[in-house]
Amino acid sequence: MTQQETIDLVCRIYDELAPPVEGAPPATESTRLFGGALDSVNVVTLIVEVEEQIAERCGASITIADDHAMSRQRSPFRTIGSLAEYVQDLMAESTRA
Amino acid sequence: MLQDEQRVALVTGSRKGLGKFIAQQLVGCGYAVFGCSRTSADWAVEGYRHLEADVGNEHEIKEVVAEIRRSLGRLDVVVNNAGIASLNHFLMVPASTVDRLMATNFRGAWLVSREAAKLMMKARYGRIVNLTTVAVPMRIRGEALYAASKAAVETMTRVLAYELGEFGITVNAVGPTPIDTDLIQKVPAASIQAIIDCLAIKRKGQPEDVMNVIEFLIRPASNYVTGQVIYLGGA
Repeated sequence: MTQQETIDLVCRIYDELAPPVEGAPPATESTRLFGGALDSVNVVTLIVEVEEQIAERCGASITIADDHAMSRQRSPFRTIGSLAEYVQDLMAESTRA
Repeated sequence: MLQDEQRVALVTGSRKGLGKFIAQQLVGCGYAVFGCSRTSADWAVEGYRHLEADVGNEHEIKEVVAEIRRSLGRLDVVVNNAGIASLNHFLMVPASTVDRLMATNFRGAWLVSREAAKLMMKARYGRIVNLTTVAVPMRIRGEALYAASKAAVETMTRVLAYELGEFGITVNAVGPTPIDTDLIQKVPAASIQAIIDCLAIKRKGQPEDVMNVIEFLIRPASNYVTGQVIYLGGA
């Protein structure tokens, strides 16, 4: 999966989970994960759904909320773009393993 | 082949003892049952599939749940049965024993519950049952480590009930009294008798006593029962 495909995947899941609001713009790479349209439970659901979609599409078993994610100076959970970038890193690691 | 609406269960530590009994009973109840242990099982029954995995190993547990997802696409019930015991004076317990026991009893239940919940939450249905012990409330000498590991499981049970409740997943625990399995094989008879003497119903437990509680907790109708720890024998 390319980085853009991963961004698109996260955006799609985000939009599915966000409560419908008339006129609200669709999610983009810069959409914030926390403090936006999703409550904390929906953010958890989004992360689990991304893991599952990656497993289904690429056969890669990744754990997004791992030790590296929690200890990074810049959290991968800031925006859809930063999450997608971290997922790309995890997929690359999974391929190397 | 999975029948329509056939429910799927995972039982850890199902190679022998109580786990084997629970797995077989669930097959008898019509579940498609997966079991796991570190080594292969020497028993088989139609409707049961054994996977080799160490519950304390994150990668192996992810693979177990991934295999359930690939083959049957759903997981309704998890029984976190895998556990090891240690009976020794606090001052005589090596650090390596602490790590090994916590890895199986607590980290194992944690990892299995976490990965199972990810599959269950999509269906907004799940039943997680953790095995604890009457040694937690009874404060038995020599069982500090074992009881502490199960106390951690009990706290996890109560908190997960809140965190997973909105996904339709209930989380409960059952605490058996001593049952004649390998787990208590090395425990002196006098120590077992001392525990039994403190119970309201003064006898050893039977696997059927545990299964009775599990059957209640995993019923679809038990969707309003969560975060509970049920001790047997009146402990």
